Amino acid sequence: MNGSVNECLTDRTAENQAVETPPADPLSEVMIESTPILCCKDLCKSYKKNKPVLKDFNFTVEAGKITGLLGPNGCGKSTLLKLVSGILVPDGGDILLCGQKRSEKSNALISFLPDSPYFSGGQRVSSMLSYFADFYPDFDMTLAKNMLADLGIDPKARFRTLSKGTKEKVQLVLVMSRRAKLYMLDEPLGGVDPAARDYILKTIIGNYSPDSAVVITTHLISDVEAALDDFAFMNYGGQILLSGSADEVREREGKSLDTLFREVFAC
Amino acid sequence: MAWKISGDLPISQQLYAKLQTDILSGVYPPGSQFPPVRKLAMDHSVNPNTMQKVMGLLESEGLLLCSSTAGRFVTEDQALLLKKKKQVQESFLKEALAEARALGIDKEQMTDFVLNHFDESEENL
Repeated sequence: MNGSVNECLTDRTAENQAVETPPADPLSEVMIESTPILCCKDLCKSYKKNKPVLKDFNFTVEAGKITGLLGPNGCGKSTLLKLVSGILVPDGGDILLCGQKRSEKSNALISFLPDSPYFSGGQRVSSMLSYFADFYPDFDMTLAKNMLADLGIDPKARFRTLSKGTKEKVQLVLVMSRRAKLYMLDEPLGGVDPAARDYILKTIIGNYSPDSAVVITTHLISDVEAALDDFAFMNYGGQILLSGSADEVREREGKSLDTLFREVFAC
Repeated sequence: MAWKISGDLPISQQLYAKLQTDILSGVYPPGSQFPPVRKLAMDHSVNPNTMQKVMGLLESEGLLLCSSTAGRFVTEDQALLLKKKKQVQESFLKEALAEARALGIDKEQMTDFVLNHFDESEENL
């Protein structure tokens, strides 16, 4: 009897030891970089007097993270992305990119997919590619051509002749074919069919690199939520209502981000 | 890959269950090289960091072995594989039994069904 008790004890200590030795953290190698890719401090922007879109807005995006910026229509998501990309100028506050204050030089770090196309309709897709290649040294022409082929888009087609969804796909191909530090995608899935949505998501995931970051705004939360590291719920007036790790919130709340969004922003 | 994230369970949990089943059912045979995180993440349309976390869980369980240079391999420890397989099978059977009970299926009906249909359905597969 004594023997068996002893055996139990030794067994248990062996187990305890096994538990106590911390397992090698696989993420630790990925997360060495400490300066956030994007840091917004007390950002303010208003289009009309006394009607701020963003007020004292703080937002940080770490390297190696895919972040979903989620919020109701008109809450300031696109405004934020336009401020970061330099299309708009903030009324106050700071934007830091890789630790540096935003300047023209930062444009080289950012690959931005705006919510509406900026190419002239007469341009051919192939000339749009060379345009991007001229503009950005980090543009990968082979990758872009492969992606167009995957999506079945004819490079000789004129931009004007393409459907809404195809136009969006072309622009996404351009944006994702760069080797940038920060990708900002404003509604990349909006007008795109479900099969292409999967392809786009896979592209974003496949493009993942531990030293770059992706910010996605979208209303199609259930489509993107598995691809996200972090999320932020943004409310009118540019407040962050809730933010954190997407999977932790699923664990804590016992519901998907999509369900949570519908609850938080219920009309 | 015909796999979809469903419901409100954490994605890492769902992935973990899926990959564990894949290993135990021999989709990735013992001793074989496990696909890289990026590929798995793309195949499942999930975040690479989530996939990395799941790999960590499978490693700490001993199902996957990590070599610093050659990536990950499925364990060749048959005893461990068998033990885990039993665990997964039993928890599945328990759930199935609970659901059957909830539908009012009694013991006799259950045994009859298994005796009559077990072999037949195997052939149909």
